[in-house]
Amino acid sequence: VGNDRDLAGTLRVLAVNQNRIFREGLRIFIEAQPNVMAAGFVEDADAAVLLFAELRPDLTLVDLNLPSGSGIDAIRRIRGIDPDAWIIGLVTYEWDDRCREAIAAGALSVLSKDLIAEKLMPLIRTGPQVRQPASEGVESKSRWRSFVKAFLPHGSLRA
Amino acid sequence: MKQNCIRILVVDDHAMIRKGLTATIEPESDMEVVGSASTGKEAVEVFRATKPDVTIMDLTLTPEMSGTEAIRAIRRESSKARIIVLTAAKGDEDIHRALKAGAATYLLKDSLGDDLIPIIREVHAGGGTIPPYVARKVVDRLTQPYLTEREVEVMQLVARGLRNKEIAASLGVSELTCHGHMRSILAKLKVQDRTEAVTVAVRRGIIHLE
Repeated sequence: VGNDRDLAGTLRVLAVNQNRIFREGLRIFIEAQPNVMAAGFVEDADAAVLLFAELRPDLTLVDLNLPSGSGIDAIRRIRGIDPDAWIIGLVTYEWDDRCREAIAAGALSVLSKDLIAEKLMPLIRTGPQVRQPASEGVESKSRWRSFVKAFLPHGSLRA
Repeated sequence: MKQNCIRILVVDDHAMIRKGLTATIEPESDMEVVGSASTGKEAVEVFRATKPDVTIMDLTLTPEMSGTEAIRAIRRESSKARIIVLTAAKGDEDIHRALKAGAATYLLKDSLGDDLIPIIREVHAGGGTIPPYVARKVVDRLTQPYLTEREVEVMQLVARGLRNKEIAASLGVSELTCHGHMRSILAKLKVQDRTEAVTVAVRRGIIHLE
């Protein structure tokens, strides 16, 4: 894949997230970055797939916490429309079995939502040509599975 | 600067949520965001410095001070503090603790529509409608057996992987006493074993992963 997404031009971002306050914050954040614009912000997977087909954004941010796994499904459907689609999955916290599923479905990387301000632009600048490791901020929070298996042997808890 | 407006403090560890809340509130002519904070400690400091009318508070903040602890600390600073919880935490115990700590109402991030602005006005005026889902959970908490403080302590240790013997030593009680706590916990949570107990306790907000 060549660098046909001209990073000197404007990178158009489509985002799908259920939480309107989050969407609003993300839109403002993205609009404030140089050479990046919010192409479309929607709240469910179906709208995201439709809008992807219509707008062909350079980057799609998919919330992996959409109801009943529809975030993973959206990634698969978007990659069905464009096998080169650049998709980053967004996760909240521990429920990160979905991180692996997102990568398997075709997301290039997964980013923890609380690290967007610090990490999204560096990921964007790296571009879609490199498969990015899964992923910033996720590993430290990926305790759920190990917790179920081993009761968090070294972790600490709070009430 | 706006005149006679509702002064609001926004507390959330996610920068996108802080931005989104500010962007949602700022267009209102009678509201102003006077401060924001990303941790419980910072929330208390900014509260002290800005004396907001209404504080919008997330619960899942840093481990050293949770949102519920921050609510308690802020209410100690000022018993008039009006606090709206806005969180993704849905457990009945989370809801119970936050309301008991002094929150005026409790909103879930994912189901929030256009209602935030009217709710801010309502809470500022002294009210605080509880959304149906949250009300349901309050009733659940009232009608189900709940764990004593001691049992919550035991659950925290169980979740760390400690056996009864180790839990007993850690709490300074006999192993038999610890065994009794465990039996009571399993019955109250309606579960068969320790693994299931931890899962249910986390889901209900009785204990938290960091």
